[in-house]
Amino acid sequence: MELIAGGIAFVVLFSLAIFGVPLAAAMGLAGLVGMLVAGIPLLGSPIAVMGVLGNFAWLALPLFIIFGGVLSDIGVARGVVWFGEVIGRRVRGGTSQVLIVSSLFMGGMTGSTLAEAGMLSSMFRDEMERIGYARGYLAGLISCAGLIGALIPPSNVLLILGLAGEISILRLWIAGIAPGIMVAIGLMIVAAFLQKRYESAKPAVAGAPGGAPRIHHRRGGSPAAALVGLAIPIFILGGMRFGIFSPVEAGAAGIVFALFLGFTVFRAGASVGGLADSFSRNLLSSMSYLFLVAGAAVFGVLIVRLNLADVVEQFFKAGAFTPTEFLLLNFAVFFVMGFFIEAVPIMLIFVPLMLPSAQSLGIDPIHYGVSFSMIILLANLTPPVGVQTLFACRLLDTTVFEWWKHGKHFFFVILVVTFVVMFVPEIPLWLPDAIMN
Amino acid sequence: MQERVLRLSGRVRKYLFVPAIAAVIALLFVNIVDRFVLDGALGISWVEELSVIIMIWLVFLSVFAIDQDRSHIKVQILDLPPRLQEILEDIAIVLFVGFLVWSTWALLPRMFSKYAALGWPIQVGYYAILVGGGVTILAKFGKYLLRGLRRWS
Repeated sequence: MELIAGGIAFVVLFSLAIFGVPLAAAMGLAGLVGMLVAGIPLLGSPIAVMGVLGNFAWLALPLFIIFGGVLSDIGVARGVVWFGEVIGRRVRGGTSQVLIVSSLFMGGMTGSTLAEAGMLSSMFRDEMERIGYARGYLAGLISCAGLIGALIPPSNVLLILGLAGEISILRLWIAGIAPGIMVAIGLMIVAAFLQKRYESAKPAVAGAPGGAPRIHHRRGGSPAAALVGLAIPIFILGGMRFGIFSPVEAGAAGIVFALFLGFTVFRAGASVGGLADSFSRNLLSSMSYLFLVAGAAVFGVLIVRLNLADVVEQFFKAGAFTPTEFLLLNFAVFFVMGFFIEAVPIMLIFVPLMLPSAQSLGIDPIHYGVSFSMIILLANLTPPVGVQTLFACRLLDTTVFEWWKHGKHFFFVILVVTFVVMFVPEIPLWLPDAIMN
Repeated sequence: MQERVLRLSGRVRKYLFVPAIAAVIALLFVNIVDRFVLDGALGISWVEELSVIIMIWLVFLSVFAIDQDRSHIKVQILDLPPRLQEILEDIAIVLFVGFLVWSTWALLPRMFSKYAALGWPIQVGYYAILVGGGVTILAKFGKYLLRGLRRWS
């Protein structure tokens, strides 16, 4: 009976989702149907919603999204690109390297892969097209580089995963650093190899003999802003590590600090009206995620009352799965799911469901969490339907076919790093172990 | 009329949402300063509770604003006719939010606990579901009612 009710709920969930129903409502209604079938009292739902959203730590999500907006408004994002310029120009592959290094450090600020893709695209598009790069190449590079931002702290994806699975957010954030850097290095190597194919295909702009023309002053970043951008992850992780503030307070302190800088040091970018606009826009987009959390809380009642996590755990115990087989199975299931659905809703439903099984098989929850998010983020990138890919293609006016033709090498980098992280637990785990113990 | 609703939703954002989240940020910042600089002299132990209550109110009030923008998080694979898509979305939101409003309404008389630090009744948070959900549902019905009237006249 339990299994039937659970099965029906999942069928309802996926059918509603496919028909484009807002996912929060799809999760809530699927939970409602399951409760009706299993005869679970319905009045537990508001209590569950309040119980989940009543967790103070959720506030970190709106605060960090707003923080990222303020930072880019006051010009810190441009500063980071300036820094990327200083580092990246020295490496073969020129502008691509600047973009990758920038997104490595910008990840520490925006936390949202889509926002980062938008920003990178507006800053690099014209320049790279002029040099001779195909739009498909740029779309591939930007969508893959956006994944770095989801791994470098403060990462919203890992924050939500930690809250959904009740795992230490600080440890998860630190665990994301090494995979994030691996992705960046992988992309940089590929970009270095691909440089010749594009930059020699078309001569550079007339008057700029050989190589990429240096026009970085047009993007207008300053060293001071770069310094702020680079210090942010250290400020946040350090403050949390030494117990000065919680993740939520880190977000609030960061916003106050950024506003202070905006009105004193970097006066160019800050205006009260502009900041209020960016506050309101970013607040609303974070609220659409918290509304998902409310829907997932209703579905969560079903998972708890039917002991579905136990059922899953029994299944894996009975099958005598090894951790490797378990992770591969996870890959198969969530890779396919991630073609269609964004990372956050999948995490909200499935992390609480799968994490107990992973732990009983002896997989470290931090390792499982990082692998899980990388699998879904990879799937989000996979053509023809990955949301991240479609977004980058729309942004750059190109097609998925072009994306694949010019950008597939970047995609393979992410694929390889995902598998390495899945099967070498030491990669995500060594840094948190070294810092926290 | 539709424009008036949009303008209202814009005003709500500007004069309600932004000040509310700014207040949360200020409170949390004062709390840090109090803890590390003033050694807890202010003794504001209720900051976390109040911030969470404000956040919960923001979540349910913004369902209406997100609705107006039609920017709910969803999957886009099937290319349904836009009209059909809109109706499906509206039905699902009304059903889900309606369920939350109904169950909260039925539950409230049975709740007697209080917020530990603020001393407020626990209902204060639940009212967010009633108000935010109510506004969302009303806006939906209003939309279809107006469309019907326009076609009829």
